[in-house]
Amino acid sequence: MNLSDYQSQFLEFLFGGTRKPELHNAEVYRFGVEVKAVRALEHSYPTVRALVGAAAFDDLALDYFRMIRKQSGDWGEFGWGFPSWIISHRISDRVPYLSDVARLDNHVARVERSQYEEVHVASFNAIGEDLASCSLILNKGLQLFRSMHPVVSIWEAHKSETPKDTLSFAQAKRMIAKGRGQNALVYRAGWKGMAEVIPERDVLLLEAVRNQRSIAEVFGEEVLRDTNFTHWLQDMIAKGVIVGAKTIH
Amino acid sequence: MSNRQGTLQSKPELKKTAVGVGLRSEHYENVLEQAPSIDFLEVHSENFFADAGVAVDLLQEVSRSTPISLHGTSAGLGSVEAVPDDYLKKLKRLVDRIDPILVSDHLCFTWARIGGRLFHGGDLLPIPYTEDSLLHAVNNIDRMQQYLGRQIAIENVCAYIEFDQSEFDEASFLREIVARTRCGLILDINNLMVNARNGQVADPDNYVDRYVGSLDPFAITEIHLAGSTPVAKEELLIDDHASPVSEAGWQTYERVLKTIGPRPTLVEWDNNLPSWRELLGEATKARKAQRRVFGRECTHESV
Repeated sequence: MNLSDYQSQFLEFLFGGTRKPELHNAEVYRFGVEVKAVRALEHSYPTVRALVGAAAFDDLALDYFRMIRKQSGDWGEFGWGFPSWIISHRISDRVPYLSDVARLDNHVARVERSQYEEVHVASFNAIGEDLASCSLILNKGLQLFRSMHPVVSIWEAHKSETPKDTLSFAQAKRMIAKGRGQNALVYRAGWKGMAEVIPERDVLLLEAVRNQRSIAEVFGEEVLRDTNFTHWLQDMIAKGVIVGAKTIH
Repeated sequence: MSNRQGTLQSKPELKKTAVGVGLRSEHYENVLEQAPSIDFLEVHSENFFADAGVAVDLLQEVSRSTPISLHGTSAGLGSVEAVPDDYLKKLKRLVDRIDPILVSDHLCFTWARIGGRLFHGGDLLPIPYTEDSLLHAVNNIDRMQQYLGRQIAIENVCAYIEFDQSEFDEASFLREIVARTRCGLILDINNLMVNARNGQVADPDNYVDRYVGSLDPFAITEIHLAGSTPVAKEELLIDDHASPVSEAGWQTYERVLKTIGPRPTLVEWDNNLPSWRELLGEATKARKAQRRVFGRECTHESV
């Protein structure tokens, strides 16, 4: 067998291929890689693991590893496609919100690894009389997403070792029963990824800010006189969601 | 073979008796609380490939006070496939951020195509020591050295499988790689001992001594020490870095030092991690071993 064939076949075997290389102890490598794959997904998807339990998660992770395989040299990147893949897995019949919970875990993990902009306080001086000629700047590192399930409450509850004792769990249960979902804002507090529920109105506002629409267009010409807006903006700046302002043409 | 090797640059070297330990996430707080009394720290490069985040920030912070050795586990320099540009780009960014004292990886393969698509095996996968393997390893090492603009070092790995078709023994293979690429070598003593044991070598000490004796001693830039664990009835030794260096490991280390002279030495511990203090205790054992071999004066040479 030539070298290229050996290397390809060995990888196929690692990814669960049935044709075993004619090499004694090859399964030592398969076992080792499977352990690493499970560990990598555990790290990136803690809420999914807490929801389904350790044994079911291991099976899920191994199914994913064998089907999707590893395409990057960095274990930290392994599993970015996990949320989409879960939709087609039989476990989603039993836990229909699992894919969205995985998506939220994924957003949190990504936000922790991404460039997260600092608030540039001086830039807010750009907000002048003419609100049509300036816009707010949204932090490029944050994530927004809409879910038909109460993903933030589920995520929040499963940070606890006893999720069922939390208010978030009770809320999630009520919302699932009523078929209600949540919008999630994923941002960073220091180095830690955080998720919180935001109303649809705020999602629309932040999307408009992301599209660099002027303050007048997004919030109205008289918005600076509105104390609600001032509080909202202060909150968004404190979380590093809005990181500055700039003049636009 | 590259014709641009003369342009490769190395950073100022560590003192030859420098002793370092592996820094893993469980010990980040210890290192942040107090600058470690250690000559250098080793990290796995890929764990710091992210654009940003706690790991990257911490490593940049620590690198200001403590020299860092970047040890890769994923480049797969023995792959038939070229190390992907994306991998090299991330490694280069990390090298630029950290300014490490050493960049290294393993003599193994990780990349291969299946149905035309490139995949990564996720482990240090062994290669047969043939002319064909040599060609690909040299190309990949050359490519990485040129991309980074500096010398890298290659480590001998544990191999749990044996190949019928090898044309070189491992030491000769490494010697040939060094001659063709001018890369450095990391001599992992534990890997040698594990291979000797798993290969049921009759006289492991003699095997290690002959192996070390046939390498170019000037190429050896670092020594690695670690523990290993026997598994199953066959007592296959697994290089899991989950235990202290064995007594036999320390004895072999002293013999190697006598043969090649002092070298920067790393104590690796990756699984079943001990406390930070215990890990530093292993580093102290390495220093004591050096003193037994070279005496007190030699171990205080300046950088």
